Amino acid sequence: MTAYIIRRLIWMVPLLWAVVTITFLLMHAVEGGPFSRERPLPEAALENLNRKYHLDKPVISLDVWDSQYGHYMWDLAHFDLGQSFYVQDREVSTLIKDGFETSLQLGISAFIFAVIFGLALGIISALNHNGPLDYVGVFFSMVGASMPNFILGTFLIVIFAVELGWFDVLGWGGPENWDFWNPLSPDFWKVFVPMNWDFHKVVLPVLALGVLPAAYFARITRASMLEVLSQDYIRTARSKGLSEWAVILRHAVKNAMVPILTVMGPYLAFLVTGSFLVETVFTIPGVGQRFVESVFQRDYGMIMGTTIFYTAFIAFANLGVDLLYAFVDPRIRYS
Amino acid sequence: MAREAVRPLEFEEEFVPRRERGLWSDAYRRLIRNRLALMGLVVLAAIVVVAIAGNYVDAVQRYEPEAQDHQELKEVPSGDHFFGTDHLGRDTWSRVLQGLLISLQVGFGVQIFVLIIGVSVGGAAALGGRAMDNFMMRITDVAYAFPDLLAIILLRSVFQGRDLPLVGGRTQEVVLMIFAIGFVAWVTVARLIRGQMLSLKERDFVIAARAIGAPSSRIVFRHMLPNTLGPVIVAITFGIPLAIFAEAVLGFIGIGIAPPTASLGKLVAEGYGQIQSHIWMVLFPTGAIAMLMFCFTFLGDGLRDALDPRGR
Amino acid sequence: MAANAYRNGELDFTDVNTQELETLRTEFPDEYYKFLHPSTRGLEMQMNVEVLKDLDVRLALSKAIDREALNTVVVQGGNEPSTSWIPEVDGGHPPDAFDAEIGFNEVEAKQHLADAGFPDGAGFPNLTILVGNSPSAVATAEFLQDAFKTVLNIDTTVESVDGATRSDRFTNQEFELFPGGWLHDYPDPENWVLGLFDTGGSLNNYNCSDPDIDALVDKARFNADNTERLAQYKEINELISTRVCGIAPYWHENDHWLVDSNVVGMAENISGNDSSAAGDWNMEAWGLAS
Repeated sequence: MTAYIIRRLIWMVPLLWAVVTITFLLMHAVEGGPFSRERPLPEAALENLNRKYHLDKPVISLDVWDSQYGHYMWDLAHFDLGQSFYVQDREVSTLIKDGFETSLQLGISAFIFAVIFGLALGIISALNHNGPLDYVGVFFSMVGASMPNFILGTFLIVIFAVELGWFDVLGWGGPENWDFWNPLSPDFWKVFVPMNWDFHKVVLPVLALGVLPAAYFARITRASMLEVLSQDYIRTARSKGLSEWAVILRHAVKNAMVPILTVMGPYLAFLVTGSFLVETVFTIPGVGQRFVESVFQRDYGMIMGTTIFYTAFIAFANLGVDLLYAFVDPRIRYS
Repeated sequence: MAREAVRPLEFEEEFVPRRERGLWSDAYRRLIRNRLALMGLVVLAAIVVVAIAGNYVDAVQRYEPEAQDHQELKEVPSGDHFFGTDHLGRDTWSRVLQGLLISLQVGFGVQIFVLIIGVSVGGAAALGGRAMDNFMMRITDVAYAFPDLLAIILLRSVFQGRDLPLVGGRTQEVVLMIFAIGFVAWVTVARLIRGQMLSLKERDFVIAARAIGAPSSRIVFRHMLPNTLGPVIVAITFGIPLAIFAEAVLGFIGIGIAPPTASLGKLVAEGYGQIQSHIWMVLFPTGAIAMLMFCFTFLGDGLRDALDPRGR
Repeated sequence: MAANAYRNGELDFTDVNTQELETLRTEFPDEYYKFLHPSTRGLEMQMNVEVLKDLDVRLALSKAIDREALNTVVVQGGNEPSTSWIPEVDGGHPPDAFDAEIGFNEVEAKQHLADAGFPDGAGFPNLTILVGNSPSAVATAEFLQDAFKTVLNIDTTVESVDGATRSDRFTNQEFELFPGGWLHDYPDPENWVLGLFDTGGSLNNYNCSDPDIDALVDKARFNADNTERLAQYKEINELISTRVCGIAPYWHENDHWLVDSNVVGMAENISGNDSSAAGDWNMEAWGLAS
């Protein structure tokens, strides 16, 4: 097992390198640059900017070290993601860190919502198979899975924020300056204190982002539960005289979880990295929104930094999920 | 005891031999019996017919999707304009139909692209030996590691404004869109096919076919591929609404199909600013997207149940 | 989105999207402010393109644009239709000054096109209209495309690209028809001309090259007599507009703001010099009434 983990970790390095190279080339293949303006900057200023950001060098060339690619890879090897071209004087790593605090809070909140709501709905549906609750459950999961999250978000805003006034439209309500990478600092733990959250700003974005995964979880849970409930060992447990609750919770749910877990992992990664639509609709300053913005601004430093960050995050998340899978299902063993 | 003729068993007359059923007819029967899936299939077929008719049959289209009538801006749905009109006075009914067709084209087109690439890569990986397998899987890993939507946006930005030889106009737009989305979508199918082929390689019927000297191509195409198709069909059916959704997202953030062609995402983006005053501008394209995703999801579920060889 | 936040009380003032003007005017009659932004937008034409070198063609295109309708349909009446390049407040002409020469006129538009050798649009090449990807930019392009088709019977292609690409193409002069324009840097007519309409000017990406304009520019540029100078710039404005030299103006832009009634000092100080927010020329006066 350890060998497996080490192998996966080592493999991440060439993987990241490949992703970085492809993104770099793609990014430069897009027309226009970071300093394209309808009213162009004065010649001298443009020259200085180009020189500062190495934009006057060829993108890639045989003399690798004299190309933009070479410069970038050199910096990257020193863990230096460079400066943002658009938000001048800010480091890319700072911008990503600031944005990720928010995206992480949003993603995890939506994930927790999706898991709780989806699992509960799926289990209830399965237990009430073909009954009224089942139909409601199936209907909800079908509708939820068909609604693009930015449209759902907009409708939620119109109904609940503007018309009813229950919630806010702008921004995010989680605690600011959350040091998520440092469990030792007090700033890390403040995220668990409900008092620090402004629920007026949290509910709608979490719903908008979380409904679709909730619907998927509900469907998979229902299917998995139905399959498990028809198994022999459930009948055995019942015939042994166990209470229905014990049967459900201890045997059925536990065994139904395996396929559910397989799906959940990628979803967590998706929720954290794919939230840019919801961020745009609710004006939440997360990483996703920054990425899209940086593509439109041709902020090369930011584009590269965000892609690398996301790729690394997803790679680690996948590894984590695979390990979790092995932990939960004793039949699986990695060599 | 004299040697009597063995009398045939009595109940043979009542024994009705079961008709031999192949995998496909069996699956078909199961699919039809699943009412939700059947409904999805029927509604989808209806949508496809209406979408095609709505773009080529005048009586259905009623108005040119590009025709602007400045006297009838943002009209409420009426007998004349079924879905009302948009901010430039164009008939929303015809634009939604145009968008539906584009979405369907993108959705199916992406899956065809995915199928071709997926079969090639997955097949090559499974059948080409260790080295080829490793190489292909590494490529798949890289493609898989890319954050999907971000990659699509980048690709779309690279492709915007470029010209393809031979094709032009709207076809070119759709093709470029298909490329951008397809480039990230092929991975799942490739992996699926590889997995299927790898396990099939060891199955008896393949070994037998090889033993009697059947050429590889025949083995692959006549014996192996048909058996991989089950899960692949399901994956593709679920992939279509994902492609449609991706196109809607691109249209929404402004890098979708070129104007004045309507794509469902672009219609949503146009109506988005009017959501409080003229909600139907957003309601109908949203409804269309939801309907498509609905149908494909039901259908996909049904197909998965029907094609599952374990059967239930 | 910003308007929603305003409605919800989360914002005290905000600029608003032209797509929502109708609703906002009726919803917030006392809090909606519109003020002139000394800017002009028009259809810029690349005069290096063969067919656009012909004045008749440019006049046909300009006369095919119903500026009133464009204003009503695309920005819900939010801007000021105009045929004058330099706004009156900066030493130009009133907005309707050149309506007769280049304003909307279907009959004359068709006539000009026929005079140029393309009766009823026959044989006219398919030109591309290059715009950005915001909803109002796309709507403008679609309107123009429809206008040219309906009035002149010519086909055009709309190309919508993102901001950086559009700027790049403009600077590299890779465009044919380009809805663009100018926003003044300082309130003087020379800012609307120098570098923009003199031959070889650094921003003259549409290649307007008119000897009469050049001659006047030489005279006006360093003219110490202000009255004479201003008169010369007015003449230049007339030449630019009536000869559709690189641009057919269609409106002056307004800014649209919602300002809550408990904000003081903002709405009262709106002036033509504001650059990004209502009354920001006099920002010190802003405050909240408590």
